[in-house]
Amino acid sequence: MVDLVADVLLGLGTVLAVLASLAALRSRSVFRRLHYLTVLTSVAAPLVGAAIIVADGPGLTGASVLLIVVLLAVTGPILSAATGRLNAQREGLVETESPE
Amino acid sequence: MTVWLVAAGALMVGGLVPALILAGRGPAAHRLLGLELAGATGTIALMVLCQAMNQSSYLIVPLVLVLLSFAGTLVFTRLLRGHRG
Repeated sequence: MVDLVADVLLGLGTVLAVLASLAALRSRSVFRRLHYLTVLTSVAAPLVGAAIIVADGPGLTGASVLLIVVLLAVTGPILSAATGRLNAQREGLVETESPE
Repeated sequence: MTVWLVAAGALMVGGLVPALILAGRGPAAHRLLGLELAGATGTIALMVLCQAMNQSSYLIVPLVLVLLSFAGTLVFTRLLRGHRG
């Protein structure tokens, strides 16, 4: 039963990650691509992390995976904001200087 | 072949390849997004590979990749601000 749950979580996370990457490749707008990056860091990675934790049970491996997933989920939006702002500046959508 | 190895292969082929294509074409600021995608997909693929090989000590690799990918991308956004092309 535990293996089945882990396999389902892993399958969902993998399919979402692959679909998000392919959709980002297909999308024309760089700002729309940022949304697919969020799917990867905030949904696919936690699903894969949950699969590993379910398969392994509580322990050091689970703690390491949890740390990686939390770091990915926290740093993803920061990187998206920085990249979005850089692209908006280069396309003249916002002022070049950072706000005071 | 376990389901973990299949998932790792799917992530590398279906996730990393599109990210690397994105990182290799278009203007520099657009390519940066490909680099971010490659970092995130690579991290997930490495976690799955660690589980597939049953070597939890290897988890230090995706952990370091998350941190380096974060710092590296922020440095690139800073450097590309004054760069045209």
